[in-house]
Amino acid sequence: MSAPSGPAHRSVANIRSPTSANPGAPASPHTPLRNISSAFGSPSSLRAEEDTVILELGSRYLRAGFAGDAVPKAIIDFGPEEQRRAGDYSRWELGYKRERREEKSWGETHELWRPDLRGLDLGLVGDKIDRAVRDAFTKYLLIDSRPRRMSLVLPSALPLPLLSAVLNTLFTNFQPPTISLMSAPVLSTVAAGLRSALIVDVGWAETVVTGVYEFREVQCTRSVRATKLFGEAMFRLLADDLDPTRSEKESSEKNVGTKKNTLPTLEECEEIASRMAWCKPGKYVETRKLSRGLTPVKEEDELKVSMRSLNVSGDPDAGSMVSIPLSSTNPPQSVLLPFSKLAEPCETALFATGTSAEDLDDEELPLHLLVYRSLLHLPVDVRSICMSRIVFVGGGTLIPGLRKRVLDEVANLIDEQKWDPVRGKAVDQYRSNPKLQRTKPRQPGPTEILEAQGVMETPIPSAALVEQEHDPIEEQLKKEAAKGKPLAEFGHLRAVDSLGAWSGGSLLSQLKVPAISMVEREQWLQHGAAGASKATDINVVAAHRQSMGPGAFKSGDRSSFTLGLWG
Amino acid sequence: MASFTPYTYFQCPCTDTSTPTRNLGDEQPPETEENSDDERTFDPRAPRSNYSLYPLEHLFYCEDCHQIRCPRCVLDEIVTWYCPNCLFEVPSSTVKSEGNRCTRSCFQCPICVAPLSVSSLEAPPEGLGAELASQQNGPFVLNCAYCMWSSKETGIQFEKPNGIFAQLAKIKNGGEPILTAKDRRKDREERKRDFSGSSAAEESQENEAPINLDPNERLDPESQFSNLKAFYQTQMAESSPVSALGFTGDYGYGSPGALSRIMGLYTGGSYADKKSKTKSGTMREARDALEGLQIDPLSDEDAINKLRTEGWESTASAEQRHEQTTHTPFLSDLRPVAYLLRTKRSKRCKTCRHILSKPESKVQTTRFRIRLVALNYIPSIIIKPLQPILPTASPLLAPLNPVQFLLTFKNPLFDSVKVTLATPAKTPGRFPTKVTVLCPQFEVGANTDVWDEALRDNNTKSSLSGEKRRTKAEASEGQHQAEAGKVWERGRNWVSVVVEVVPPSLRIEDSEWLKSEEMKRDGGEVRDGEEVVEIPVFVRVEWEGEVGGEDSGLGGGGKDKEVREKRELAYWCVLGLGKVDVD
Repeated sequence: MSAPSGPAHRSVANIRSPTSANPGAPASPHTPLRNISSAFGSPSSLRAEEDTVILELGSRYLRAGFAGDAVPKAIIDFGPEEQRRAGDYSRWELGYKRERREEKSWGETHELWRPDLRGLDLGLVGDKIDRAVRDAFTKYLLIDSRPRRMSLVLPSALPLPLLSAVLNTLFTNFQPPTISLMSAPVLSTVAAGLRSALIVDVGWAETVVTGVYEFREVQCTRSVRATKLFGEAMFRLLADDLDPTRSEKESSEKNVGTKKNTLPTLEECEEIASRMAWCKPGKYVETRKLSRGLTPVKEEDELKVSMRSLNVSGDPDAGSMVSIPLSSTNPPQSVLLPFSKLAEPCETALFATGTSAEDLDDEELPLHLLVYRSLLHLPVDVRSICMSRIVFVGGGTLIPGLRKRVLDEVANLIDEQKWDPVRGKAVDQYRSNPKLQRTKPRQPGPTEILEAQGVMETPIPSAALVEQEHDPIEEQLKKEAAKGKPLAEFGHLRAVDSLGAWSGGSLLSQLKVPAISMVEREQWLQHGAAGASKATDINVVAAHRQSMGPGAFKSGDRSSFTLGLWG
Repeated sequence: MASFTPYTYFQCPCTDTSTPTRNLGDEQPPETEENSDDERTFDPRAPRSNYSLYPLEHLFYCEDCHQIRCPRCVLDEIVTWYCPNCLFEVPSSTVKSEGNRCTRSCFQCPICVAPLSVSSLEAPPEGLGAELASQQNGPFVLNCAYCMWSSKETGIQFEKPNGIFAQLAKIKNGGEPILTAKDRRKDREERKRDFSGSSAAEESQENEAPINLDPNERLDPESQFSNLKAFYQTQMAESSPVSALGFTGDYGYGSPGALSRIMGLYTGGSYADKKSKTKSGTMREARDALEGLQIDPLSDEDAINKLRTEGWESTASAEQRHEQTTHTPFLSDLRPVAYLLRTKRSKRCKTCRHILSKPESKVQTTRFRIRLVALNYIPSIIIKPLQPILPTASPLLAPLNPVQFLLTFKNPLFDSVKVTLATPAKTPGRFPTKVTVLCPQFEVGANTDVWDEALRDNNTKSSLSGEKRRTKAEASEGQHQAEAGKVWERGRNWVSVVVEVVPPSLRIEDSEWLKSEEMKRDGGEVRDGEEVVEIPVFVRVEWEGEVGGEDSGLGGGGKDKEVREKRELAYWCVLGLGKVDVD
């Protein structure tokens, strides 16, 4: 970023040197200069041709790298330390301390954007992206500012104003000829080697569960229980430990200013959260049926035994103590916490233990409930495919034990509630009591006739619960169709590892799979977001059908562009 | 943090043209938007201003556009890539294949960031003939001289003292060998041959015994990625339509499907036929680790147990993790970090494409061939308090107490410049500072040769005292007052003027009439950075320069012949004067 001219080169001799840096600008340097420059520029043009830069934007981090890399070369955060003025090196000073900042909400100064766009300065978002991308290019990717194609990996529900700001920044400041837009959940699916999956993305502001079927997003549910809440819960845990009376004080009066330096900073809380936090295994581990076919029974039993011996699932008092040094508090100190307590933020923030299911808002479902509900809302066929392809991505899933916990809880929910969306006391009573069913208001039509025929003894189950009728022809057809194909896993819970959305983007770009939404620079600068036609207007049906094949290439009528999902 | 060094920042004029600030959902547009851009006061505390302000040393000056250029409005070109540790110049063709890292033996310590050195585990030979024993014997390890970390701690040892990068790529933490990408590729090819049923069995027996890869093994991201890539490539080749030749452009010929078709054209179609028979309509999913599928074992119990037993000290910090490419929760997972390469870059003006800066391509030299830095074109500003601060006094500014500062403008040009300063009477923000520039217009002398001056003044005084000579009448008096409209001090190519500021009171609970309008709207606590007195100053510089390009004369001579051209440069500056005492 910074100019290469350090103070060492600013000698008087250079200023005065009449041949090179004379402000009178003599004619002689000009002509040879251009020649030299074009000559020395040539080798890197070779590089530029093949490189597509993949950028993934999230609310906390930018990931950047070349197509074909397995992992991003640069991961750059948008924290306040990165947002200083150029040439402000105070953070490298000896004895510099990150001070705790007053924020409206937890981690606000660390975000690139927030889901609530009201009052968000889009210009600032553009500035942040510009600096981060520039940083990534110069420091990690080591590329010059030659125009090169970009692929942008974006969350699938990015608001149009934000997308517009992002594209504006990239097009005006970096001059890429084209930018391809790709959606993160689909790429996560690709990077897992799957065609369909249930992507559970425990991100910063929200956890998004996306059902992807045959490379298409079919459903998306979200909850605010994500890393942001988790970090805040960790902060509260530490703050309460440092000052047990804090919560009372805060409720009675607002005297945060005086206590500013006694509490740990966000950075430190996040560090502790990423280093020491863990997730308790579900309560149902012992009783749960072993439904995952791939883990050998013996191994799991061994694990259970070892866990029991170490009291992982035992009572909290028996846990060992962990000492955590805090350096951001004044004075620095270390807190001694029972190990089991470090699992509490995860419990309260992500699984909402202690809150009854009735009290939960629609937007703050705990993770397991969110996964279960989104599976429930999927059509049966899609559900059976997706439930054995659950992919965990996002920073929150790195908490040890979290993924297993979610799956265990979901398995338990399935055991308890089956796939029945109707719940409640009345329904339970209704089901358990056949009399109630009989006394339901009579409806004209087939029911009446059936009852009249005297099928009174057995209650009629609802149509959804009836076993499907056996159809030999259908079965034969299916068998025939499945002949060439390998058997697909379905119908049981299984988690699959993904390399992540960035790697998926890198993979697809290297395989030269064109994205549905490819924005050209000229068109964008001319029309902006208004110039985009709706995805349905453009004949991309073929591309949709075959988004992995070269067929997608043909269908794109490049005279107009679409923002695809985001338009 | 009690001390405070005054600073100046310059705003690059390119900022105005980029995306305008727009707040979504604002009830009414701010009134300032109605005014024209010239009248808008630049607010140094606005969050966006951090991105457009630069120290003078970071800026360039384009001689053709006659404009300041900041890092955002220049284009980079890379001159060389080199390793900052061994200063080896890496050819551009291999930079990317090496992953932008040094592939010799340059490594950074994963614990601290100090460079690692290779050392032998055996004790150096002693006694008679120790000097003759030229080579130490292995095994070798990487050692950190700063924190005493050694790669032995993670179970990594090397056989040879050189080519560590290649050796490290074959060893896991703990000493187990890693299957290289080459081995995996070989294995894939063999499997492909098996599937296609060609008679390649004899061939494979000729080679070394094929490695049997476990279909359920845990892959690292690199190999999972390469497996996935190979899998998708074969799938795409199989599922692509037969009419692959119909495509234009490199998509058609680049795709393996088209290749197979082309090959089938002349071999009687047998190749293509065989393919089409086995072809299934759609791509299938990856089935095992060899195709890149990784079933999540969900076995985090080990990690939790390790956390419990070994505690905080065994985990890697956020900074340490950031350096690693994979997820490394524990110290034992960390691997030595190969040095990232660095670049030497030349810069061009974005609008006219003229070179602004070009370093010598040799890594070791720090010289520049071209260096049009703004420092040589724009008057620099130095700030110091007018009354020297006593060492016993507090360095903080007293609220509501007028303080005078001396701004010294130093002209680097060979022509004298006219400087006009403009400041808002009150700085924007919740705690406005009152500012008065006592002498907003003045001329700064040309940066002529120091020796000219010295020779001219030769018969009167020494050059140094001549420079220091005050032009003001009050110079003879011991204690003098700053006077409005007059320059404080003047030298050969510099001028000092006085600016008077009244720092604000940072007390929230001030009486109502003292509060500014912003304060009434937003009466929150004092935020980070609000105690610093920063003054936006609009600087306009005018001078008569030579017409660029055609003349060859230097700054000094032949003035009468040349065509003079009036130049003008205007920009915002931010002067950081000091911190206000909060109490």
